[in-house]
Amino acid sequence: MSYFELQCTSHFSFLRGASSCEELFAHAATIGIAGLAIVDRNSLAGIVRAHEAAKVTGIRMIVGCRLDLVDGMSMLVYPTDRAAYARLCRLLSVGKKRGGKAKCVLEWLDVLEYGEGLIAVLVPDEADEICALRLKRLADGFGDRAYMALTLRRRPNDQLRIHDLSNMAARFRVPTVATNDVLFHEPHRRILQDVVTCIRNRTTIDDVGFRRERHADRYLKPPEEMGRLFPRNPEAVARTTEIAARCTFSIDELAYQYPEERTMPGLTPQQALEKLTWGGVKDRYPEGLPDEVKEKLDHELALIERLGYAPYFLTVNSIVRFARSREILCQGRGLPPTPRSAMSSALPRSIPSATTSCSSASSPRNAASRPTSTSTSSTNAGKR
Amino acid sequence: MVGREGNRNVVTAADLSARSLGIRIGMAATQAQALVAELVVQEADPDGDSASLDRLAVWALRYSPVAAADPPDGLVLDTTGADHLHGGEEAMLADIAGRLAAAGVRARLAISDTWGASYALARVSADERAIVPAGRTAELLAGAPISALRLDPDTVADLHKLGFDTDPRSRGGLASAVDVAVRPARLPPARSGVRQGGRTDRAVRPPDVVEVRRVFAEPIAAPETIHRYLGKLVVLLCAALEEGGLGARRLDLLFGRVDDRVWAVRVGTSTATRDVKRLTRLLGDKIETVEPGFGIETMRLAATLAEPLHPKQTISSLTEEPEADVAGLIDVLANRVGEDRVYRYAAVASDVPERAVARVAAAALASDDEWPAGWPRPARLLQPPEAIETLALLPDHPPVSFTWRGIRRRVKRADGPERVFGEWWKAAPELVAVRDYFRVEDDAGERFWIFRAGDGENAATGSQRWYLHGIFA
Repeated sequence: MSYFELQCTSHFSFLRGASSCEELFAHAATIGIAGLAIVDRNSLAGIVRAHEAAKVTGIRMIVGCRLDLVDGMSMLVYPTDRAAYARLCRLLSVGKKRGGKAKCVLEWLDVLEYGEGLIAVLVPDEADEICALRLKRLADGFGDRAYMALTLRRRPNDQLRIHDLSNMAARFRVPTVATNDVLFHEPHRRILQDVVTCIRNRTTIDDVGFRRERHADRYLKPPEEMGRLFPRNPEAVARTTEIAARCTFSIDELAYQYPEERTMPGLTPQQALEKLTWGGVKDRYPEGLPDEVKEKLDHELALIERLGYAPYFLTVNSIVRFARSREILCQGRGLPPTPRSAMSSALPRSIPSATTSCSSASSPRNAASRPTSTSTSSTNAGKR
Repeated sequence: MVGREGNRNVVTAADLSARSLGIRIGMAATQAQALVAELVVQEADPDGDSASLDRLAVWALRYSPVAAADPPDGLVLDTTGADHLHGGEEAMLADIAGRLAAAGVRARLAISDTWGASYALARVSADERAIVPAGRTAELLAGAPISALRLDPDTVADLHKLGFDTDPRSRGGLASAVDVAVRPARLPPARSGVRQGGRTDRAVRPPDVVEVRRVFAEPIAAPETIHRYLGKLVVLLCAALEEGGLGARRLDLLFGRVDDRVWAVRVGTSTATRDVKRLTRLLGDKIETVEPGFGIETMRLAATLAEPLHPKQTISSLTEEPEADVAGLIDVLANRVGEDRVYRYAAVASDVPERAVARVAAAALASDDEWPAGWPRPARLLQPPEAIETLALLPDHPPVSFTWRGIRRRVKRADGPERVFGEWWKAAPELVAVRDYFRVEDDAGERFWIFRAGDGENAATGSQRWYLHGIFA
């Protein structure tokens, strides 16, 4: 039996979750859970750590987020593809811009606006009228991407509540899905969870009273246990796998994106860079290009093409050009001393040693971070 | 502590560990230092001591209207008629000891018929808190050492030389001889120890107390007369309170008798008040306890505890009945049967059923804590839960049947488990303790609240035995 835990709160939900992503994934691996969805409150902050933990443990990680709306509705959203992920990020940015520090103000209409491609799971309280309203809203807005979470609370009338909720979901033709609303990876973390709850409420454990988490057993449970706990809703447990299969988005799809740099209409950045370089060569070496330098330039241009760094060199070039036009002294900064590359001197009006020697850019991973830092500092230099 | 005595430095006080090393009070400082190499010696400050003892005496007024410092190391309280306000003598002593301990003062306490007996008991009794029932003072004091007799140290030393180690008066034969020998020379009459409250001349008065008094040219004794003057005093007091914007929470009525004794009556109120009628009634109820003796010369009425009380505008609604003010009733009941016996229940924000309810003061404001709506709770909670025999599937199934008080009941319907965790910050065993509560209904339709100690999986969480904790109405 395969089970995905779709409602895990990591400690990136500040002062709510009591376990780190690493702990959650490591524990999930030992008890045989197929995958975890990290759903922090109005935040995607935990997903990078979760992604790395998922890689280490070999467990599937599903990107998700819990949205707490202004009207009290809570829902879990999972982007199915990269575009949906982008919309989710935009949605959170909108909410955080409105809310200010550490707050996120979102309305149902915002969710609708950015909701395309998101799977939405309603987190219900009791099976009452409010819940019915929200469920209808969700079913109308998300169609076949709407679900409702069934979570045991270990409180009176638990089974009745689950029964009422699944009946209501059937009435609105919204499928149900079993979750465990995980706050910590193993039972003993409950104490730490109580402590962070006190900190969040700025009170002491003696005074915190019913502001503690009231619903019990918020730790990761093995698939068989989840199956046993939902004897009347086996389809809800099985549906976790269905949702996991629909969420194809992975963080691996994200890579650094350099802003577009178009200096010459009709030419790709690489073509533009080559044109500028060979044009610059004429000024730099009026009495003819030495073979040695030509060889080096060919090598560097080929490497730049392979790594796709042409736009970055164009950015630096335009900064330098601007600086020169205003007679501002500009120097490259932020890099370890490197031998001047032939290309940088060949560029029109010569780019100072701001550019890295391409021969040193051996590993693509290291190189990826370098142009970013250089371009920032060069920009500062240009402004001066 | 080392202080000067004549032209010698002597030990004036020593703590327990110093005394266990052989340091005695009165010992020369040099000798003490020779005895214990690492002795911490500090200069004695008798004036400071006596000032702080006086402050402590003022503090002690919270327990009794008559309190005095008894230098160098004692307090005397006349608690007659005041102990019931603190839940009886025992509870009062526990309260005094607790508060003093919290302030870092270790105290030995005794209550007895006379000051002298209390003095001796507090210093020599094995018990840190001694209470002597009325009339049994003599037998308890038999065998007490003479150092407990409020004699000056020289006399004690001389008596030791004469071969007396215990109070000679308690042993028939020699008593009269020693009495004659000691009394005239060493014991001033005020120290003879039988007169209760004999030191009221030195009793402290708390600062800034609203107090009114009345001196009678002819001593009064009849309850009706006392009552009449009481009424007049209350009016005066309430006027004084109003002037200061105060309301009384505690009133002390002191009767100065012709024979120099002071009789005290104390009443408390649940809310600050300056209602003449209410206060007169509360005090009037107590007049029958007053023994006027040969007559009362003075009456003093003081609000020893007062709180700001500002006039409030009454809101009159034409449609609704105003809510009845029961504060007066609470006060009458509390002053008759004892403050701790008038209380109300309040919800406490705790998941542990035993802790979900607490007794609070009768006039306490309603607390914000509310039990969650929609969670059925039994009308009657058994205290303590009663063990039952059950047959149940692990880990979290309700029992199939259970036997309680010899009757076997089959479970027809059940709801649960409701998992209640121990409050780990309260006690170490609760760190892991778990209870699984079930609501079960038997054949006859009776509903019970039963629980299993433990979560059915982990042995550390409880004994896994079943208990019946409540009965639903």
